[in-house]
Amino acid sequence: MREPTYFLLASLLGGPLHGYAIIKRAAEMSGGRVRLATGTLYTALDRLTDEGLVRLVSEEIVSGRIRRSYGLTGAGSAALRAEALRMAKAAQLVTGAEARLQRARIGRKARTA
Amino acid sequence: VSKLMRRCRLLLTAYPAEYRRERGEEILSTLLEAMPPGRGWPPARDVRALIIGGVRARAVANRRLSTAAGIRLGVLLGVAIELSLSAAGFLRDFVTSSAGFATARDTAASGWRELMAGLLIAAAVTLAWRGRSRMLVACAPAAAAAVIWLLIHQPAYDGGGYTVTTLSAGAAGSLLLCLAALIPLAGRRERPTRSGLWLIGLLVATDLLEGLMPGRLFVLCWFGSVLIVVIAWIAVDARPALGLATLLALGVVTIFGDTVRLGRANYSTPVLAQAEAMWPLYALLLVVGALALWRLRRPQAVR
Repeated sequence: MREPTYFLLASLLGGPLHGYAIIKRAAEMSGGRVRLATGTLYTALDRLTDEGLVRLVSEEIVSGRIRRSYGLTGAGSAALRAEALRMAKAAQLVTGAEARLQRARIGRKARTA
Repeated sequence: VSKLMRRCRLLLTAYPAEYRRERGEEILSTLLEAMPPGRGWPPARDVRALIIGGVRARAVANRRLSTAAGIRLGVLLGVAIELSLSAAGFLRDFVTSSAGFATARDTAASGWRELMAGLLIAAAVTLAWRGRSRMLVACAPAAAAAVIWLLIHQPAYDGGGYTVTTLSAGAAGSLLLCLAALIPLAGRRERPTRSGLWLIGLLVATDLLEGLMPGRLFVLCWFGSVLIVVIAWIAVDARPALGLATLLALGVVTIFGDTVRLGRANYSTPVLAQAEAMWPLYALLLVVGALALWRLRRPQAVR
């Protein structure tokens, strides 16, 4: 899963959002790294809807314009969670090794002191 | 805001019309909300993303057709291009002959037959494009009759050692084949899209411009840009490639028919030389057409 897709799905964790809200939320969650362009957002929403990860939740007219909100499906939540676990495991490989090294270093210092 | 909105709407034309009807307003409102205030144009990255998104949406829409429907529409496009080119040629001949440009021709005798053939062929193409099968069943034979009438009664004039006619037997054969093919090709559930009309218009304009402005550099530049447009088109939609492959096949029918009928030695030399010079282009189109057929077999969506 690519980073923009990950943050798009993650932005919907708190509940359904409309187009601009997804762009804002994804930017906030990624610390400003993922800035979805409008065209990219809708291409991704089309694809994720086709794959059954996202669904259209509601449609309303706000100041004369149509506003559609999208939410995660069960499969979408599961895919997001699986991706998060995969990244956590990958991160663990590095952070875990660093922690072990740190502990070994402290142990050596204690023995020599 | 209205100027900005107009510009945004212009960008949205990258998306297919059906998609725009469904999502256009929603994309537009998100685009306007996401834009910093006081801007005259959307940011460059938004422009780029909209164009790429539009092209992708077109590719996805084109691949939703079944293979059979895709092939049928591609062949219909090729046949429509061939017929439109001929109709435009006949109408141009009518205009130039009635304006007195064509000095060597029997203008009064030839002009009206060409007008008739041109108009009837154009009508048949229009009916086929719009899926009016019943009217087409009446119009296509009428157009075929007009072509045969023109073939039999056309005046021939001396082109310096060989006889030049408006319509060769091979070209007439190819036209009749196209008119006969229009009937089974038209009038099914899937209709050709409006973008096909742009391609037809582009090629007809190329043909007419080549006749009107015979400057080599101009023709080269124009042909170069047409080729680039067509190749870009094929990247999104396989049907233009199929249409062009059909056009190639029809060109082969014309040349074959004329060579068989007249013999190579009696064939009008400039026409044959021109046709032979076009072979590399034909070969390229054949390869592209084959690739297009292969792509039509894969109905997956673009990621």
